[in-house]
Amino acid sequence: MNHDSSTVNHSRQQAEGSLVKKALLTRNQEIAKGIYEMELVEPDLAAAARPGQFVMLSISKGLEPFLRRPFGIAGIEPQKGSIRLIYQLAGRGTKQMAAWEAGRPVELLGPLGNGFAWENGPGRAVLAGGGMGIAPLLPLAKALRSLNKEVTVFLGARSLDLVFGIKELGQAGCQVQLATEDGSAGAAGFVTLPLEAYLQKNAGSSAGNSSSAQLQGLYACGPTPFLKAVSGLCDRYSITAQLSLEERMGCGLGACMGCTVQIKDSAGKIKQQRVCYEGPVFKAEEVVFHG
Amino acid sequence: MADLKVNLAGLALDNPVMAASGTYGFGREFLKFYPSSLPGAIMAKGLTVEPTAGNPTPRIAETPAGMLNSIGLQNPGVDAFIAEELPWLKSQGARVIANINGHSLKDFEEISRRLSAATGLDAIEVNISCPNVDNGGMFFGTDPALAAQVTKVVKKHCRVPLIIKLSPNVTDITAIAKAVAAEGADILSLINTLLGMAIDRKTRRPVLARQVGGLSGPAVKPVALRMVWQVAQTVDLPIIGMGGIVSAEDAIEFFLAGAAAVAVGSGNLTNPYCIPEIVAGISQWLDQEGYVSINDIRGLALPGH
Repeated sequence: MNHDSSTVNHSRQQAEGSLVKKALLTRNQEIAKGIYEMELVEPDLAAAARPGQFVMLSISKGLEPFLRRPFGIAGIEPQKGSIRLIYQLAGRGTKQMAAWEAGRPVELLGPLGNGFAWENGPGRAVLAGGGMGIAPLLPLAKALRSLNKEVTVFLGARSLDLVFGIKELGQAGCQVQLATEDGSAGAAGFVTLPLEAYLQKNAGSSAGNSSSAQLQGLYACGPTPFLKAVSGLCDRYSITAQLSLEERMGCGLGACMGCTVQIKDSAGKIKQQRVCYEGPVFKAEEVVFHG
Repeated sequence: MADLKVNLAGLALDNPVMAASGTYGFGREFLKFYPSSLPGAIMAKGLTVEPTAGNPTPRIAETPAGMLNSIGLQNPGVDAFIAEELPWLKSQGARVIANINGHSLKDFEEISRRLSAATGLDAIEVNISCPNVDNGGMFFGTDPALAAQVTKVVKKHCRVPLIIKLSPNVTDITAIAKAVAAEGADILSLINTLLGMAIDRKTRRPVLARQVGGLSGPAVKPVALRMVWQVAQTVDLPIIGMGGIVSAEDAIEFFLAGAAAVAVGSGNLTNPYCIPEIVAGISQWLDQEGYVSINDIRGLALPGH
């Protein structure tokens, strides 16, 4: 059936050829201090998107700002034909985005990258998000809950006014543990402290655990120092983890090599891989952290 | 329909819009948007003799109407290119230009020697203008004598049209152009990126891990255009003009300045359909203005026309 394989390749190319999407902005509002959420309607995108993937948003049709902006997909609702993005005011691009009003067309590329992976069926998962890193974990939490998994989410932020997603996670039936660096809500300090206490109690065999389900894995997204700390914990407590990495990107398409990270294969050989193309999700044990 | 075919010192292309090296990988990533045979040619990611890991991140910083990069020639090495990427690109019907780099004359000699055994290569572009590596790189492109030496060394092994890619980080680009022309360059490509930097006010540190990087994008277009226009008046070699081209209008200005072909760099990163849009736009403009061939507009903005 040689003939078939070329047909398949061709149709795949056609499917991917529609990566350029024109979405309709239906909502854009501040959900925490300087943090906004936008809803974009584009049914093909909503149908194709998987938790952990991202989009490259075009800010302007002109020359300024020049580059598209990468955003992790923070909500996927195929029935409504929409996705959600959560972004923090940081520079020229996000400042312009915050002024956009519903009804505006938004051009983007996506869905891009490889998302999170999980086992089907029930079980138990722990999610850890630092700062804006919580955003791509929201659709993941819902996908895991829809399989009846027990999901515990550790949320870390500098202060309470920067926290988002708690209500949504609660409604989805997740256990949420909050930590703020200034102690304004939840545990005081880095979220890795309550996370470590949890892993200490729940790692290893399910015997002796208060919960019946086996802990299947950890998923984390956030700033690099946070991911490095999480990776260290997973190593110590022998938990498999998937990390969603962040790097400055040029194209989001794998062409410019701007977002390269070092990934170690099982034989210990270090490879250069692109966050936008081979990632953004990598196995924790494969990621080489520097510094 | 106007004729878009060009012939640059034996490098015959169906259209004059190429993908600039370093913005297009080895073409694979763009296959999901259009066939690899669509660009006039693909200037593949810069190669070194051995595989190169490149610089630490951040490697990218946005700037007004442009961007800085300090990738540092991350590439799988020339042997992997010959064994895997070149045959793949040829199987896709692409015209392929290898972009070669070296830290020493010996490196340039070795890489061109290995490439001389490769089949299917359409041209070689010598990068004497990369601002993002410590030894070699731009160093060779900023001194006429050194630029001439590199040209001579590569020419010895080169069985295809030889392109020398010039650096804009010089006082007089025509001096470099003359020097490499005298040693057998067949084609000149210009410009590479301009050395620049960005600083993060929050951290009080340079944005790029390497501190400085190469500026590209529409911000550099006037500089590139001026340099093409100057070099076109100085040497009698075909020029591949590049630097900030993101539209057919930009490209047309480069032809008017004396370029025989153009290349799209950063434009590929922000708009994956940049090259097909420019090819279509040039064709439309030529028809609208009543030209029968792209070659008819070459150099119309030069003195004496």
